[in-house]
Amino acid sequence: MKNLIIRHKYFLIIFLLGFSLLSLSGCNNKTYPVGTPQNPYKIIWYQFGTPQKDLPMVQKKANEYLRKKIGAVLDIRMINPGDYNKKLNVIEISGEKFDLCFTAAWTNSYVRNAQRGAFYPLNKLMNKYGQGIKKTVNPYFLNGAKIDGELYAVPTNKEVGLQIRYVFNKKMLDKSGFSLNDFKPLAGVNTLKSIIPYFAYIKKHYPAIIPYGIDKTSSFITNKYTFIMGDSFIPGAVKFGKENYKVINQLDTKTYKEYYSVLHKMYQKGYIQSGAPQLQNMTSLMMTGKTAVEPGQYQPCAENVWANEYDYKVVTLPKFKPVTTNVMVEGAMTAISINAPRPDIDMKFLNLLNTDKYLRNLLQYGIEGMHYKKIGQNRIKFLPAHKSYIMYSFTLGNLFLTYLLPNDTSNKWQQFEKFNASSTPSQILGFHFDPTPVSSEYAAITNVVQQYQAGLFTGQMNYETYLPKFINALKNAGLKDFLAEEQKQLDAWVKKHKTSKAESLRHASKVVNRHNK
Amino acid sequence: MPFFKKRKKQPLEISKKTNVVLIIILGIFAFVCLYPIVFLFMISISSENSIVLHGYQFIPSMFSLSAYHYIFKIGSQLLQSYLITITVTVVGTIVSVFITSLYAYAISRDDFKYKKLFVFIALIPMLFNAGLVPCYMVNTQLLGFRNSLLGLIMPLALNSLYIFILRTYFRTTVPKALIEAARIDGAGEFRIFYKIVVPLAMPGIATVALLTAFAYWGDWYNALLYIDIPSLTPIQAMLMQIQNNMQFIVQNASALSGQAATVLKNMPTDTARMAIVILATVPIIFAYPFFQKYFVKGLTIGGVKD
Repeated sequence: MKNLIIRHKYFLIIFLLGFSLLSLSGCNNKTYPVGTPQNPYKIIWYQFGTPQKDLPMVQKKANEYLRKKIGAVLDIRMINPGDYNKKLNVIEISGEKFDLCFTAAWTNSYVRNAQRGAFYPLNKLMNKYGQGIKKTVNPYFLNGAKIDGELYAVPTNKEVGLQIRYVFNKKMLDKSGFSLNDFKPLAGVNTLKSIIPYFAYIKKHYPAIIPYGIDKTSSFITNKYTFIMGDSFIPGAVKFGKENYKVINQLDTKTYKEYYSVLHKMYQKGYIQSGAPQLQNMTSLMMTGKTAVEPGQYQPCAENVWANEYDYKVVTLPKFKPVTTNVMVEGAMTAISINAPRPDIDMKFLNLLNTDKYLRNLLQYGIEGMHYKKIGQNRIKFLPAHKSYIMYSFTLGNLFLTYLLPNDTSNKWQQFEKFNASSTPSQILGFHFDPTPVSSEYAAITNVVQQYQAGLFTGQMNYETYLPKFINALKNAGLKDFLAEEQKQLDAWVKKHKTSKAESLRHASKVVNRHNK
Repeated sequence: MPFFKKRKKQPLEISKKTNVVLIIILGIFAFVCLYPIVFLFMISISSENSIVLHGYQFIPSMFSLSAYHYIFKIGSQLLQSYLITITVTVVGTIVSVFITSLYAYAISRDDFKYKKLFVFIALIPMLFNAGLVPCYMVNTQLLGFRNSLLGLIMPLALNSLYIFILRTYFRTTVPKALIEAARIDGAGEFRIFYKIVVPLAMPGIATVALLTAFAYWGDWYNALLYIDIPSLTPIQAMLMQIQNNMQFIVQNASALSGQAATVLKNMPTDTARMAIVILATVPIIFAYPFFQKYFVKGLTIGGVKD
């Protein structure tokens, strides 16, 4: 080997020289335009969604506006939802220069990226250029999404509360003689129990209809517990309420046992379809119109959305009062990359996106007269060209600025604000568990959960025989160490943030109250 | 089918019993290989309703060609993707075979001074892999392959394994004496290569070309990394995107705040996806007979040495 190198040293020298020249040419630092209307700065924005045909057209129109306003132009790069996480991961690790990207708890993980330093810290920047965001975005978002006191992405202003509602097919309900008043709202398991007579009625009178439709991912979310990992299946939760920081395994609690038993009874009686533990996808089932009741995650005016999608009218019964958790707060956000050459301009743009009605609607719905038509002051109707420009609303900043659609109630956004104000924040909002110290236990536990989850949470398994097995398997997988680590990290967090957190939330609720008056 | 013809028994002929056993074994093997493809085709021509009601069936209870109708409706994107795939496969195979055979020929010659060094360099990527991120950095930041056909062609253009296959092939099939004779007749290095070495080594080169063509045809990963715009997306990547999007949306339906169903509605159904798979697989099957004559020859000639 040594011989080889010596013999070919001249060649090697040339070879290496050539390579270093090549790489040097790659990293010559470009100077970036200052950001004037004549010489605009290009904002590269990785956006979540399927590439849209008319995007270049809309972008051009937006650029005309932005060029004048903040001396910038957009370069939006749409990435397919299924590839988004993988691709952004590569882009971020490779240190590529870009400005903005979509991030959330569920894709392109906000917490992980912020912790590893991929996102630009925003506190100072926001004070300077983002005053509009501070005014419009609900403080629960802005404070809840902080990691160790620093915000790393601008949350989309949308619904902040998590609430599960039972969604009824209105036509069937009206015909049956039952009404929503016959059921018990906001009572957790008891709400489901109170619907059982209706399930029995459906089973008797509509043999082809599934009384209660759920799929294999069906979970039991409640406002009794708030989950450490944000995932109701992973052990580790604290009882909802002030000053409660004792980590327990929620899957083994009285509430859950009651839920398993109710479900199992329903499954045995045929109120839940027998294929539920295998069913991948609830949506396809609902679109067939073959279910009488199903659980759904609620947002204000969701009845209209559902009615549109499933082609039948629905009414809803809330299972519990809305709660604010990390997953909801980090539901959709836009971050500035740490490699962004001009974060100040990016922030100015984000500020506009959250305050400027024209820009927000242009990016959301496209060009007036082409993709949509105005049919009221704040209301629009889609034109046929809308098909070539469909964007996810939550990826584009403040939802409350967007125009209403023909079916929306005129006070839709007021209802959102009301809903958000009624939502109770979890006492561990802003605590982010880092599973790395117990990563092998975490993997083992996830495996065990996957084995039992579908069976227990669709009622197929009898909990009296399977729950002990489940808990035992969890214990073998290292449940004790896992919970201990969760407790340890939570205690440390409480110690550090209790005072500042409590204050900021108290302040936040004051602001919200003022806002609503 | 020579097995069933009546003729004189030859000394090396396989006996009838052995033949039957072999046919059964190979038949089972062939069936196992073919079954999924036939199944795929059957799903693509079954009606969506029968899938919802009975799941996937080998012989569907209701037939329908709606999947293919759907595909013709979205035709333009499909056609575009086809075009990209075919271009990449054809151009890529030519480029790749060109580079690989030149490299392999050089290191197959004992009188090449830096032979050992270049063998060593070619060996490195067979043993170690720099991984995804450095590759991505080099390809996008240094070479600028983002959203260009080069990003689909170049990463697959040189494969160390094929270099060594070809080198060994050149060494075993092209006698040194022949090269010397050509040299004495006054041929330069390039003339020797094109007029003597390539024709002699055609079976080996064709084998490598076939393998490379398959690799290009089936590649979606490079498209995932380097291509963002639909007009440059090859067909396999398009399929992959549809599949990934479906899965993602189903898994994260709640996070998409009620927009999931709208998106799902516009997605191809199960049958349509199967139909796209059929359309994506079938053309490359036709490439096989084209190469087959070399393929068989390559294996026999390569195996016999005098």
